[in-house]
Order: sequence, then structure tokens, then C-alpha cells
Amino acid sequence: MQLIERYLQAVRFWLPKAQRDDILAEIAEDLRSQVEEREQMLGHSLEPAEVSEILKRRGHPLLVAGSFLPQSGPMDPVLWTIYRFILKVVLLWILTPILIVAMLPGVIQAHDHAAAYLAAIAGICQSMVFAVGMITIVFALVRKYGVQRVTQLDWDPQRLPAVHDAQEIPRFGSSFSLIWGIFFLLWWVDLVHFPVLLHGAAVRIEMSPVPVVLNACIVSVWIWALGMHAVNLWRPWWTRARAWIWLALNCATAAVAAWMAQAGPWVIVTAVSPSDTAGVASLGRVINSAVTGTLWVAAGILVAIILLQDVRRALRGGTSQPPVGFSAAMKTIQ
Amino acid sequence: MFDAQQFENLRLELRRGCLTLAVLAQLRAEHYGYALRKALNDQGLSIDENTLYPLLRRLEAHGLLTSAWREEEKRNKRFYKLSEAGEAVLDRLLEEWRGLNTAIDCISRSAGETVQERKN
Repeated sequence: MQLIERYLQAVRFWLPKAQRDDILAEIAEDLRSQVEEREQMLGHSLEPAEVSEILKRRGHPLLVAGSFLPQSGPMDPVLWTIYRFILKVVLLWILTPILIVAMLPGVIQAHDHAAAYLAAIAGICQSMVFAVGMITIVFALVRKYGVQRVTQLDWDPQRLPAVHDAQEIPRFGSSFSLIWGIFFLLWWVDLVHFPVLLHGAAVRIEMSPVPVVLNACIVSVWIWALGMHAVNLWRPWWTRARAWIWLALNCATAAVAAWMAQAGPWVIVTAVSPSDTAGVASLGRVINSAVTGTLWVAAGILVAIILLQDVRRALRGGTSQPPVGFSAAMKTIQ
Repeated sequence: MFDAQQFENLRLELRRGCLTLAVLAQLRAEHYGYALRKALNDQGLSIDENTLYPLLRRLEAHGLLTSAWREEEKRNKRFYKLSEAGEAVLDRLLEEWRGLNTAIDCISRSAGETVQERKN
């Protein structure tokens, strides 16, 4: 039945959010009935190839999802679904962050902030209108000349992606974070000794002393994170409690990162030979500015992760049992 | 020249309204999706799953059907049934259908007779 779960997952991706679970449960039930009938007819459990045949007859996941979508003007529902998806990805996830990152320094450095802000907004709008126009033209051409309908493409149910369980925490990620985290902590508390970050022919770069309270906060948050990774490695699925603790951890980490960004300088650059002290001082400023900028970006990314992922996961809750695949989720839906 | 695709389009257009009527008529008795499709198929009207399930949802959204998830044979199934409004609409549609059927029958018969007369 793994194939059916993979097929349902592929259909799910394209379904409208409001009806997604309901439609999926009905398709799942229909497919199970078909499998059951075929098994009764053949007198044995179906082989993957036989299940694959049923799925292939049912149709491409995009076509199946498209049949549940409302007709949107002159555009085919399937094409309309892809069009909306690409628009969303390009506008929200690619263009917006790129434009914000590209225009933010200009706005910050400008003398007239209001004018710079308005100019940036206008620039963002202009770029977005242009992107929407280009994407629409491409889709109009696809529709007009029918390059090759996606639904008519040859596809193989056995090559559908494996089922992704939202409750599952990949062990690889937890292991990596744990190993890297332990190493960082040992270095931070000076158990692994690297006092000098760089000792070249001209300069020597080392960490500047960290305020005691801030240092205690960094170490506490880091130990907390290591504990979470260890638990995630041991029990690799989200529970409601763990989702909330993770949310709290990321809030604390974002706060510490913002505090660290304000608490610099983080490195001390000294000249080995006293010939170019101005250059060395300038290098120190550049490195410290880069560290501060990186910390602010890290804090910003953490806030985005908290808002977009952690809060949703905490509100959605988790499972007290190990995840056993998509079929379990389907039973819960029904 | 009229090609196979054009014929297919005409055939689908002709079937579209008939399928709605057949589904409504069959749902005078309660059925879940798969059983409904089998029942229609057994009576000579095959219907694709990708047509049936969206159609059921549209009819339910228009208030012509009611549905409920219920357990049967240890599995949850969504059962559909004609609503009161659906009953009234079905009666009117059937009346329309019978009228159309009689008219088409009449037209095709008289047209056939005319062609026969010309041949003779």
C-alpha cells in the first residue's frame, strides 16, 4: 500500500487547502476499494506492479487534483494550478526576499528614509508586475501552442517520491546538529583550545572577551539545543510538548543572536609587525561588521522560521506514537 | 474533415448532462462513491472516477445531495444521498429528459423515413 500512500501524497500537493483532507480521504477509500476488489478477483495480495496499474489507470496526480479544482476562465484547471504555484514560488519565495535583501542597504543608508522606502516599494512592485507578466505570457503560449500537456506525459507510479511524514524528524539532521553542537560548545567553553583564530604573517585574529551574563546565556541556549537534538535522535518524531519547547528554544536563540549582534566587537585583530596599523584596524572593523551582520541575519531567519514553521507545528500538535506513515494520517483524517 | 478528437468532444458534451441525471437518479438510494460507480457501470453507464467524485462534490455544493462519513465493513466511507431539493430537481430534469428523448426519437425517425423515401 506504500505506492498508494505515495500517490496520495502527490495528489495532496495540488489540492486546494480547504478541502484537501476530505478529498484525499475519499480518493484513498476509492483506491482501497479497487485494490480490494482486484485482490478478491485474483485471490492474492496485489504486487506493486498491479497496484501501479490501478494508479496509472486512475491518472496522473496532477490530473486527479485538477479535476477537483474549479474551472478558472479560459485556462485549463491543471494549467491554472501550475500557473498559481509558479507565481506563488516566484513572487513570495524568490523575488520578495531577493528584492528586500537587495534594496534594504540602500534604504538604511539613504538620507531621506521615506523617499528611499517609497522608491524601494515602487521598485519591488515594478519587478513583480514584470515577473507576473512574463510568467503569464509563457503560460499563454503553453496553452495556445499546447507544447505537451503535463497530464499526457508518460509517468510511472513506482517512481513517485517517498512518503514524507511531517511528524518525523530526520535522524541525519539531528546527528549532524548534535556532533557540530558538541564541538562548538567544547570550543566555546575553551575545552578545545583554539585561542587564535588566525595567525598569519601580518595579522593575528582572536576572539574578544564575552560579557559573563551573555556568555552564560549562549552556553545555556546551546546546551538546551543539544538536549533537544539528543531527544530528537532518540525519539525522532514531533510531540506537542516538544514542538512547544522547540518554539521556545528558537525564540531564546533569536533573542541571544540579537543580543550578540549588539554586544560586539567579537574579534580582536592585531598586527604582527607594527607597519600597517591603520590597515589592521580597518580589517578588524570589516570582520566585526560582518559578524554583526551575520548575527542579525541569523536572528531574522530564526524569527521567520518561528513564524512560518514552529508556531504552525506547535499549534498543529504532534503524535505520542512513532509515525507509521501516511496511512495512519489518513485514518486520523477519516 | 471531422476527426476523432472532435467527435470525442461532442460525445463528452452529450454525456455530461446525462451523467448528472444518472447520478442524481441513482442516489435516490444512498451509495458511497465506489459503490455508486459500480452500480452505474452495472447498468451500462461507465463513469470515470475523475468525473464522478468532482461531480458529486459540485452537486453537494449546489444542495442537491447530502453526504456523511460513516463506517462500513471497518472502513470509513462517504455516503451520498439525494436531498429534498435534489428530489425536486431530479423530477424536473427527468421530465425534461423524457421530452427530449421523445423529440429526438421522433426527429431521427422522421429524418430516417425521409431519407428512405428519397432512396426509393
